[in-house]
Amino acid sequence: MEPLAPHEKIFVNSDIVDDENHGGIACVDCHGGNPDDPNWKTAHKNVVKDPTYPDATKVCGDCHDQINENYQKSLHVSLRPYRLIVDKRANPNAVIRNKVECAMNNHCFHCHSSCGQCHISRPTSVEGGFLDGHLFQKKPPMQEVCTACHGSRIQKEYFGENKGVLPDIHKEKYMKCEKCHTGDEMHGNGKDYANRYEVENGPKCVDCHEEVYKREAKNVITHRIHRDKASCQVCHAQSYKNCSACHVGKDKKGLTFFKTKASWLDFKIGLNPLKSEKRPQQFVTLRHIPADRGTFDFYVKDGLSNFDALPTWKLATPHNIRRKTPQNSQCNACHGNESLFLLDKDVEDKEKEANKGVIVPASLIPRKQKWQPK
Amino acid sequence: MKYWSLIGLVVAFCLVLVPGNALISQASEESQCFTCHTSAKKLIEITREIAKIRPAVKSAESEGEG
Repeated sequence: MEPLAPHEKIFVNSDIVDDENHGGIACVDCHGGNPDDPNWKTAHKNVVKDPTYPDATKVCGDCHDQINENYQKSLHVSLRPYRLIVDKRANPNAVIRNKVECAMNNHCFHCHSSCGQCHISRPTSVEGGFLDGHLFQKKPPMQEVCTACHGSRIQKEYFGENKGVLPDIHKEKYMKCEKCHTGDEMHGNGKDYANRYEVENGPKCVDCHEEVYKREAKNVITHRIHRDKASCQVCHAQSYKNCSACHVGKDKKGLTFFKTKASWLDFKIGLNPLKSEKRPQQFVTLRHIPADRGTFDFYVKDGLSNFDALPTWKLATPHNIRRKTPQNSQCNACHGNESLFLLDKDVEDKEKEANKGVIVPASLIPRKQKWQPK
Repeated sequence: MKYWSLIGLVVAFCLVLVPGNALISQASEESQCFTCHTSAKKLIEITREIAKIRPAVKSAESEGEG
């Protein structure tokens, strides 16, 4: 996404005074600074760019008290999954752990959101700038907010920007992110979830497609047979983006940078690493993530000494769903088709231990079917 | 007399019900923040000035998809 020009980022639409809810709040009430000082340099002393992060209580809490109550536990704010994952992989030595934390602070923890960075401006991690002259947006615009951060994977999948891969059918039905990912999900419900798949009010395909299991449904047999065996994406997703080897560091000027090695399109079915009552399926789609044993080497060697504690092929829910896909064209497009499954040979030697729980043993690959429903 | 009462009533009505936006506009006009941040011309001048003092802060070494 093209960044805004510097002046566009901070241009305030004077219509804001007509906002019956927020128009009466003076700039200084939220941002501080000195509104009487005509010198911009001194006027901006102590100005807070985003007064809604890390705590929105003072500026949003009075009116949006319920949302604010759960705000700190929204995954977009807490980034708890990141922390838990690094905790699991990190070297337990306190000195080394501190250096890993320092690296995380420099590189990873900037990618958060806040009330302001969804409803007023673009997220800071994509260079910010007001969405519409500081006018409050009840529903954050998809391409300036959601896919501004979730760009490399979700945006390209959803909009069909990966070469040879069709857009998500829901995109073709003009559905925006918020249709599935509601405000309630984004705002959190006060529970400290370990990952997005645990979120109780997160989207589920059956929320809209419950009829596929009904007797009169067209593919009821197929859907019922596979219901607890494979996730919906196993049959209905297309090839999706995988990344590897993210390394972070600082250049000669002290500016932070990251380098990822390769990204590629692939489709791999593996064993479900997050089996739960909500996701009981044995087979799910897996995405190779950019985590690497040496991600933080610039800061400290052996920072992720327990790297193998978690797989690098992670449960994925690709956003390029189609009703018809190559693997669901007929039973034997998938059954007996080894190339679709994450096998031992598909995993690099150095990552085999980490992924032993998700690699599909040959004995578990569904056998070719003699009979096929018409 | 009736005429003056009517005018009085209208004035009182305006004072009670209209002032929301009027006061906001007044406050906005007096605020240097509002005056400056609603003027594209001023912002262009200032952001150019800032760019001279504080050049871009993005490393050119980043590579690959984030």
